[in-house]
Amino acid sequence: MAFHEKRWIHKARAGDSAAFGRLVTAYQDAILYLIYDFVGNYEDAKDLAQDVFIKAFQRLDQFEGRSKFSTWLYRIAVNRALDFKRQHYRETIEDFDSPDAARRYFADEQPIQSVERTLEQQEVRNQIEACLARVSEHQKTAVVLKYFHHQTTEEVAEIMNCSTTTVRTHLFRAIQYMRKNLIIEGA
Amino acid sequence: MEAKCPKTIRIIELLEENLSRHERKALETHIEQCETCRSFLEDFNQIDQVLTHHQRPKAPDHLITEYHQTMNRRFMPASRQAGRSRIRSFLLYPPPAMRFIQATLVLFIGVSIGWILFHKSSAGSQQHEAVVQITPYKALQIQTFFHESEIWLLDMMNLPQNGDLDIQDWKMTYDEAEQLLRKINIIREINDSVSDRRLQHYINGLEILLLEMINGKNEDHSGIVRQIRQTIIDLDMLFRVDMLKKRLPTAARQV
Ligand SMILES: [Zn+2]
Repeated sequence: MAFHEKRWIHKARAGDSAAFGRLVTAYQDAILYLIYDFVGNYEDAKDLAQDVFIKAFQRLDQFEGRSKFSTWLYRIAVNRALDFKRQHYRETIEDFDSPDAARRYFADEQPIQSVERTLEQQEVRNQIEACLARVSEHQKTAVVLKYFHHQTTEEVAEIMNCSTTTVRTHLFRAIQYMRKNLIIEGA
Repeated sequence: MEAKCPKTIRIIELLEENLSRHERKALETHIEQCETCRSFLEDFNQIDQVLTHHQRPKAPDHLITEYHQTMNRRFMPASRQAGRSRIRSFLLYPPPAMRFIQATLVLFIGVSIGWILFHKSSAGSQQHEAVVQITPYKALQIQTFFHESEIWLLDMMNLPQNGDLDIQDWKMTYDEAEQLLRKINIIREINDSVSDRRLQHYINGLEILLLEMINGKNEDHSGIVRQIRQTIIDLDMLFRVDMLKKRLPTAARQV
């Protein structure tokens, strides 16, 4: 952890809101993108990111400094994003009386098979997103943290509150799923 | 059906460079001889590349600008409004020692108002119901309670060593249920002065669920645990969406 970061945390814990503001500035983008990777739209991600920092500020005295600050913050963010997704999913289910809502919900559920055999960035992106939408929540979390946010397996384990063995199992299963469903040119 | 090899999963560790030199050598020798592992490694190398270079769609510029501005306004006390902001932040996030004094003050004011109202309006009326305006401080207390309960519940769910966890597998010990019950009594005390009926409804529901779980010790209670968790999420939502937006004082809304 950078020296100045330690000092900001120390000051923020003592109630210095400007110091906390600096932490926010340092991590606001990372948290926005992390949440986006779970909820899939920036509008919600923007609101949830604010929630995350409020929560972090309220719980700052519980940050013990044993892990990195980013790990601690990521954990709050992942939990918030997953809760939001579960809640949102429930609402959509309840809303299925209206055929429009149901159609909207399934609109982005394109079958993977229809994707052309191409390496075009957009296509690969779609394929990855389609795969990640189909693997379990834990598998997706492990992949997102490890690959999109460059966390080490140990950090992922801490964020997900599980062992490194469990993280590797999640990664392994996600990769096995992608092996069967990702179409990569030349593969 | 594709052949399985128990060593395939270790290839992840190989690419993490997590293995000792000896383990590494042994695994590499195995891969040379094992068709299953070899084919996995080939595919994994490619998927690893694809994932590493994955780029999420860019956020619209105006959204990012707006986001940064909001975050600045909210968390960064600008020098020109530093004084006001510091007072606000002091009121909303007081240091521990001040919290006690603040709480005492709020309690004192609350009791005074209650006392005055009681004696003014209904001398002798048994059905008197004090309507106390919810203070930002109380709002914050209630909100913090929900946030904490949520995170606390998430912390509590232990992942099994090898495998995925479904909602059905969530575990809750009796000790934890009792802890939560105690927390609920705290929130009930806060709410008693607020008299929010829907909040009351949820709190009662939560209590019934917890008691059901504690009393039925030998039964499978995964269903109850699921309901408990959902109730807490619902409570959080109810509070955030409804109370925060419509009924709480402005100061609390900015929390
Ligand atoms: Zn093998």
